[in-house]
Amino acid sequence: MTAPAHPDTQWPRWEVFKQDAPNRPYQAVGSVHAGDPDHALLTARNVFVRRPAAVSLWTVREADILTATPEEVEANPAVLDTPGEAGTYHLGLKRTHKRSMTFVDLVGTLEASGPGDALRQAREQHPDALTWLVFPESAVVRTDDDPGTVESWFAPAKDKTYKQQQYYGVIGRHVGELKREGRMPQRVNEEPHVGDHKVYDHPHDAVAKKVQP
Amino acid sequence: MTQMHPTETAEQHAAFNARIARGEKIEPGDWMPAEYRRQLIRMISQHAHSEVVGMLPEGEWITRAPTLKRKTILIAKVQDEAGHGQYLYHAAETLGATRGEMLDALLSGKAKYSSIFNYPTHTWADVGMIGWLVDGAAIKNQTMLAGCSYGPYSRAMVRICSEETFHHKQGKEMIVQYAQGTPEQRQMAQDALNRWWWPALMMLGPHDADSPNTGALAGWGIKLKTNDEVRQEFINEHAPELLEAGLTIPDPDLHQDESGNWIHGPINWDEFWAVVKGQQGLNKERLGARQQAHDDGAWVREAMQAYAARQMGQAAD
Repeated sequence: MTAPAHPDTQWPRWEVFKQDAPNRPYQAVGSVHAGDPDHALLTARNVFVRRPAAVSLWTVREADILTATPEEVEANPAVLDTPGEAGTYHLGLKRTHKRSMTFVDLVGTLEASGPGDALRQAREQHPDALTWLVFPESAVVRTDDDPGTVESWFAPAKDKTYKQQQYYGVIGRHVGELKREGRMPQRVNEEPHVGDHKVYDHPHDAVAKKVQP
Repeated sequence: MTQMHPTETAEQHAAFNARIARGEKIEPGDWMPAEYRRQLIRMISQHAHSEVVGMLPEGEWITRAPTLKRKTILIAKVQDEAGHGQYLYHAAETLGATRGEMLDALLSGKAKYSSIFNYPTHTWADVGMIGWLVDGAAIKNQTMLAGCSYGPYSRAMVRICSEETFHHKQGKEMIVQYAQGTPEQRQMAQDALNRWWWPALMMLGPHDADSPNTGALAGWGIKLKTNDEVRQEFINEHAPELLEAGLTIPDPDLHQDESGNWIHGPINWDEFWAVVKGQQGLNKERLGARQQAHDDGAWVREAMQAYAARQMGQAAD
């Protein structure tokens, strides 16, 4: 790979954690590249919560996250001794390979003498996890919880709910007819709590309508 | 079946293929064949470029929208496309591609984008027809990709599809209104259909027999349907609706077979390849506009770079 000719450089990577509603777990939804904490949060909002509902966003620099799979710990047990600051650590788990809108849930916090110790405790508490992920509380960059900030950051997206395009009976049969026949699409949500991701699921497997040209 | 990098083993490939077969999502830190990564970077970045270049043919009409309502809708649509480009560039970055490399590939002509955006928009009705047909075709493709095996790509597709449905709906609503309007408006809608029908069929890609990447991409769960399957879904939905709107589809061979599928006549693939390669259409103009936007935005990138450097300097103190 050759260096780009213009001054774009790849800024550090930040993992983005999104909370869909109060009392829901924060979930890993993707990553952004940003030069500073504010930039990371703003980019995360534009890329990951432009439409679906959210009430809070966290970003954490990749360098502050320690993550490992059981196989990786087995191959390299020294990872459990990774040194770092003592204090409160957030713990994230990957528990299945089949989730669609996230792959890691944050499940709580623990007190640890460093990231390695946090990973060790995570492994003891959740031996069945597919991946453990820990980062110190001090590394979290978060949106303000005050109602004004939540309103200005997330309310515009919340109001932009989506209807399946078949709900708009512009052409062909009225939507009511289709509903009575049970042909209106169901919401496709692999995970019940991801209520605001209305996946487009046009019933294209249905037999095409016969019309007289 | 699939290409193997010299450092990769058959066992690694077998384990990876088993994950795909079990319907597992591949996430950024997971082991993946180099060829899987390469194909995804190629697809996702070209998809991102298409979203960004796709703003150009419609953006030209923002100042000429006939009413405030139509102007508002078009502005919302064009800014959605900018957002879709961002979603996709971020997804490609999770595979190790950098923004600089991807933009260089677009601006130098090394990376392609969807051939459809090299066609000119002649009248306002083209804006509606693009929404109905081009976004309609894109949704078919993207709904399929929302189920693909790479987590970040599939998540980006879910977010994009829910926004594209609005684009599709507004285009359909506009064209149906014109098709029921004055004779001039009906003619405008018909002319737009004559211009966009064939390019919309072509944008779903070459026939399966001429699509060299389809086999590997299907094996890895990236493409869950072939080009011809997606094209058939698109025609089955759109042909009857266009006819019901009172428009004439510019294909004398178009007919419905006994199973209900709408069968199209021969597609002019020479035109498709000429447009993809920039020998025909507005490739030069589109890239020129992108280059200018890139150059005009240099000061923003420089300012952010300087700000980030200062923040890091202060943090170090």
